[in-house]
Amino acid sequence: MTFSSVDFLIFFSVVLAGTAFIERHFKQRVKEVFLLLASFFFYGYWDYRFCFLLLFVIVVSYISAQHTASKPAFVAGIVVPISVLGIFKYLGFFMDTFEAMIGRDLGTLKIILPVGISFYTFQALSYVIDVKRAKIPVEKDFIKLALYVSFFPQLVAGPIVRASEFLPQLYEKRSVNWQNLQWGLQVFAFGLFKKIVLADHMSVFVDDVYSKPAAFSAFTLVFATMSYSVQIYFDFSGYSDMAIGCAKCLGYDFSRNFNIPYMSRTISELWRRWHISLSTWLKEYVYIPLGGNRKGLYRQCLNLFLTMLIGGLWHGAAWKYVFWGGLHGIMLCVDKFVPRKSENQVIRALNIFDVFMFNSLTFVFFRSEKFSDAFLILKRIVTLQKGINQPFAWSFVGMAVLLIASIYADRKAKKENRTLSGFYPILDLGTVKGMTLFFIELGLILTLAYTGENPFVYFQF
Amino acid sequence: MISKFFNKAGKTLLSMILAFCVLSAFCFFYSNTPVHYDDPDGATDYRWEPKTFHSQWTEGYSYGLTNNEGYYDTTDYVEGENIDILIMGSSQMEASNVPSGYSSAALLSESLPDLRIYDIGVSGHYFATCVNNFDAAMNKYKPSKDVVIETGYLHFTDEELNQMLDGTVETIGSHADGIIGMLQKNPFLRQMYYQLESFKEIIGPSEIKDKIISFEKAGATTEALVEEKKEDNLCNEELLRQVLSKIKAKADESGVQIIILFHPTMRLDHEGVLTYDNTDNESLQYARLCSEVGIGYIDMSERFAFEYYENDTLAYGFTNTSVGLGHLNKKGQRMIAEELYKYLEENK
Repeated sequence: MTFSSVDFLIFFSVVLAGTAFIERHFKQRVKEVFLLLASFFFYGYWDYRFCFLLLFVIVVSYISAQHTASKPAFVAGIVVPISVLGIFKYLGFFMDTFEAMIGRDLGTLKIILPVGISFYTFQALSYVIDVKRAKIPVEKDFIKLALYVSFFPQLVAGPIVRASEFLPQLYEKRSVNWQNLQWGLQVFAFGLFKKIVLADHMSVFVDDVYSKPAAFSAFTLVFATMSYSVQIYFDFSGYSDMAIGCAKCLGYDFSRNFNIPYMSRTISELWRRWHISLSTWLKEYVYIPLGGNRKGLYRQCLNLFLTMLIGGLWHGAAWKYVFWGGLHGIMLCVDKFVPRKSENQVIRALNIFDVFMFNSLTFVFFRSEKFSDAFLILKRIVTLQKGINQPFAWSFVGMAVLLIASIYADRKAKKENRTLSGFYPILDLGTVKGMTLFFIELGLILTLAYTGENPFVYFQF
Repeated sequence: MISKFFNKAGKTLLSMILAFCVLSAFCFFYSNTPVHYDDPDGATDYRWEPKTFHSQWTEGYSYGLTNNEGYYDTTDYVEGENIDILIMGSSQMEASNVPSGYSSAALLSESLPDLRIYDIGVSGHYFATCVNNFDAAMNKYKPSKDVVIETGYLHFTDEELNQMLDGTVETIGSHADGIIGMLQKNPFLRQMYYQLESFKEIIGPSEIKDKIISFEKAGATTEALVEEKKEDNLCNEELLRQVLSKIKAKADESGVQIIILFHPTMRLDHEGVLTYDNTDNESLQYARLCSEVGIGYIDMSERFAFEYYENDTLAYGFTNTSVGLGHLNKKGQRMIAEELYKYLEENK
């Protein structure tokens, strides 16, 4: 069940009510078990077989962390989740590549891709590594660890929550209360608006163009390229907001996963603002162990490039994702040689625009079904080909919303003399004005929601 | 404690009422379809509420007033007036997705200012429904020159053709009375109803899962569909002949010429090649039988293809929907008006 489905609405209402009831009448342990069962139910709703895999990863992580002093145990805690990810997500890809190289069909197995596997395996890995590094104490309580890995708000599409961030919360007295509900429901609604109103409407246009790129004019292809950047931002950040909102309703805090990424002036800044949980995970568990910036500039560039190749591969079992990651890796290196520190507003705006356009153009590879489609699109853009012109209205709406919100956040940051940072526009639901605006927001979500089929983009990862 | 509860409840209720008013005002301009009532004359299954504001921003952009009979025609009907050309059809002829005055009927009227053209196209009135209502429409409006029947479909089952012959085609009901009728007058509640009906069709968990797992293969699926060889899906020749003869006989009583106007559903494949859902033979069957019976037949396929390949223009779709799908846009309506005009001039 996706967050924007009726099934989830019913499920979450039951879990919320159940949690509130249990908190008031039973011990903390009962609440943990209830949430754990709810999380497995949520995951099993997709396919009950996935639950066994999830449990397996949790058990291996639990045992490994208990014995990190033992090298085999620690290695198992790393190798097993990576192997699970490798088999279920990448085996087909590597076999296809090998077959293409040798020119033979070896008859690969059709393996089902469990939803969320990229997210929970990374969470499990981060836990084991952090215990080994003595950053966090080992979690002896299996129920708490299991809940950390499987907690349903972030299970299937992130954010990738660190054990250091979530496990301590399970030891605190956290509850379903009016303040948390007020905040959580509003953030959830905010994310829902981004997803089912903005992102899903924009996807109609993007899907049209990418399914038949040869029919559209250069102008439309550029516009679709930019639209996809905005669509994927609303889709993924919308989902993250819903996850954060759900968790907050239950009393738990997740860090934000996006921080106005399209106001970035460099690619480095973009990756500090985009999918923050993944970029920090890659930094801590791939980039720094590779040497980070400690071995000279050229080695740093190599480390950045390799990290981004892995980041690209994480997104999908296809060479186009690796290529996309590689392009970002190259630009991260370019950033090291071409610093951008001008405070001139025009230059700043140009920097922001060219980062946005670079990101949009690399997304052509990310979004296209095949490399040939991506190159066809870029070729048609560069050679100014004629074709159907489609100035899609919802794309303009989405871009306008993003632009206005970004400029507002920028002005607010300048006024308050702090670094540019996004914020949730939380209303006071204790007042008539606040409630009216919230009900209008809900009404607009229902009125304007796109009612075709559209899974979350990041579910495929 | 109790007063606190009532205080909160009061605030909540007031907020809901205020929000409802704002949302109703929004939907009044965003998506406002009038209520429909049974047509006492039977020329159509139903008509909209007369002289009512309508707006449409969900597919295309349009707003206007229904006429005195409750149709989207820009002119009022005067009882007993002489109608030269009567246009029957579905939402494509109703043209509720384009601004008033851009329907094919309105554009045709501009090209033929000496003729009185009246459009009773209504949403949901497919070819079968138009045939079912044909006699009543002829009796009511008594067109003197031509009747145009629009269709986007060519294939009908034997059962459907027999229903057309018997006059037993299922009619579209109206729910204009009582609480339902009253609730329908609120544009926000009406829009909620449409949204909920659409949400009901959203796929459930197992299908989403399959789609996610085959996400990367989505493009391949589309290509596979296009590569499949289309097979002819012809109507039962004899039954179709009888249906066409039936409406021809009624038209002959008034010396009126029938013109069937077919506009195909189109698709673009991955390479940008235009294809139609129907086969050539399906249209040829209609052309042959119409000619045999003495009915005019216009097939828009060639014109649509010409406009696409020469001018990169598609007859369907809007800047807020999928390209090439859905209802006729302004250009599509114009193409139809021009082809009708050409046909009428050539067959004076």
